[in-house]
Amino acid sequence: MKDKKNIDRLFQEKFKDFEVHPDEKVWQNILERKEEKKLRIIPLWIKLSGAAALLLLLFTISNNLFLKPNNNQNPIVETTSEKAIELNNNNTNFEEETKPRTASTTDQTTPLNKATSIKDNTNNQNLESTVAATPIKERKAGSRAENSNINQQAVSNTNNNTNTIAEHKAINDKTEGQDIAPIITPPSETSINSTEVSEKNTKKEISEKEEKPSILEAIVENTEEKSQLKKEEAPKKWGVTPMVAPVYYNSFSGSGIDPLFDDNEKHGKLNLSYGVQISYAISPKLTIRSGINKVDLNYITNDIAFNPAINAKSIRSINYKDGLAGIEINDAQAAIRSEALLSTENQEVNETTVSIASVNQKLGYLEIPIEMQYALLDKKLGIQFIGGISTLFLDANSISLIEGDMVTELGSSNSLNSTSLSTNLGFGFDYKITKTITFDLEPIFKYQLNAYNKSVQDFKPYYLGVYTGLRLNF
Amino acid sequence: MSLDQLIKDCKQKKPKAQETLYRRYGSVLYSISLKYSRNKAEAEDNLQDAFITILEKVGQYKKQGSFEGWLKRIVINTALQRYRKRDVFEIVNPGDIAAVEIEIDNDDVSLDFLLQIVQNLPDRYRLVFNLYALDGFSHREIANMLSISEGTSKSNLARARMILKEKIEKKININNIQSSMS
Repeated sequence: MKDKKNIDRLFQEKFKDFEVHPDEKVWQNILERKEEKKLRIIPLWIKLSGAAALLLLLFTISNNLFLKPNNNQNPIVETTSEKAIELNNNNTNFEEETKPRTASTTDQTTPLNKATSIKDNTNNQNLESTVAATPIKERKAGSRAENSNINQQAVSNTNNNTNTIAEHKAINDKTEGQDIAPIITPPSETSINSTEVSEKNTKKEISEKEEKPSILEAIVENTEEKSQLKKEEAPKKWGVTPMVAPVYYNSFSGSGIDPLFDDNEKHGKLNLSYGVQISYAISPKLTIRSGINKVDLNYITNDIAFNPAINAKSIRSINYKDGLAGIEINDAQAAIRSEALLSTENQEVNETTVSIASVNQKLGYLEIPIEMQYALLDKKLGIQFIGGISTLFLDANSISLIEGDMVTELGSSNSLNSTSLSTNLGFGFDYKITKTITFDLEPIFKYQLNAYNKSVQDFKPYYLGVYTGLRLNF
Repeated sequence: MSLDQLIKDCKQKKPKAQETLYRRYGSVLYSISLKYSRNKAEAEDNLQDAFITILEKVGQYKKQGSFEGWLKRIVINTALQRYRKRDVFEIVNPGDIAAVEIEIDNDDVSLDFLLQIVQNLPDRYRLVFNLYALDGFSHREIANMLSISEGTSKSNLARARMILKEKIEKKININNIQSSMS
């Protein structure tokens, strides 16, 4: 006669001395996770700081390589600007020269007087050395350089000194008739004959006065030409592109639902991504871009067995909707094997029915990419190489059972991280329809880095999109 | 090494002490994990998770109550976190809420079989059965731990007992048929 026993008591007695040693691998796993925990925060920051460092490096390189003044570009502008400056300076020289020249025409000792005025000019202490050190041959104005003398040099070096003229006159008045030892030694090629110089200066003064209007006109023309050239060649650095893309989602290995389905056949489905891209051309070849996209992804896992059961085993990574945890899903092959085993052991008809279906996992993200684009070819048709990263914010998540036409939403996945990253690589092809509108076509491969947490860590998802849009350049 | 010294060294995160802690209490904690988990693999996961938590939180142990009890509680809580969100398709039959008795001899079923049928229970039933029947928590305490009502705790326990009883009786019948045929 069997004893009637309270079922709780039965279990309590049986489990009283229950003790099982865990496998050694458990301790090894604990050690590994201890180390992982220390490093877990770091890799994400390494990735982010690595991406930021790469962007900074590319920006620095592009600055050094592409943004240096290019002597081959705008030669006309640069040459004319140089000429304008030169002419401007020389024009100032003429103005400066005429006044002292006027004063000195009546003075026989003009050169010496001027040398004295230089010495007395306290604002230009360095003029002596400047004048002595400035050989005539450095002057850019050709004809004037040939005829220059100390007077011209001295005056050209006092362009900015408004006191010079007044001092000239005052000193000239004071030193008239006096012998003044020259403070500076004039260059040998400019040995001064005062009367010859003054005559030459007078002639020059007249001819130079006549040239003035034409020089002024040239300056104005050059300035206008420069601004016109600048307007024509100003690059359109900014671009805004509304984009749409068919995207295909899949994985290199594993299952996003449960490791139970690692070996099940899976296939991705085509979905849509749409958004806006903003780009800025750092240099003619390098562009940085960002934007925002809405991405919908889904994939199907086949060979799923399901059966309703009161004590159904639930899948750990699914948050079931109310009442739906009673639908047990399993790998179909495993379920069939297990059924066969049970019916042999128990020698009874298995009352449960095993049906075959598919599971559809749908996800949606808000994607913010940061990418660099390098132009390989930049003509009417352009080709670019594109690389970067995206930050993905999860905003849709569902898992459904599909049997024929019947779709039952089981719930959502709890193994998806709400924020994740992807690395992006691809090519861009563009066609410049007009100067402001460009058609873009960009196939880009995006590999997700941490979309899922460790419960389905073997799942390596990616998505491939062909992004198309019309870019407005401004 | 004395327990106090062991705890002190673990608080200082000395690797040797941490390993000693595992060697000393690992089996007891693993056994609890097995009862609360669905299978061996999940029990190992649970033990790993729990032990990482233990190593992190040993600094918070204040010598209130037994150290072993503190360790066990962490293992149980880790299992609850893993399984308590599982909704279970539940038929609540008031008639089931009663002590369940079974006609059995001790040798009729093995420990392994009992462990297996406990592991095969739906998650919530398994948690409640372990907490109440094997670890002595009250329905009020279970309700707090699982964020459910006391009534739900009681009905979960009743359902768990019914399922276990059915499986044990089925097993006994099979054994009897097999022994009568041999």
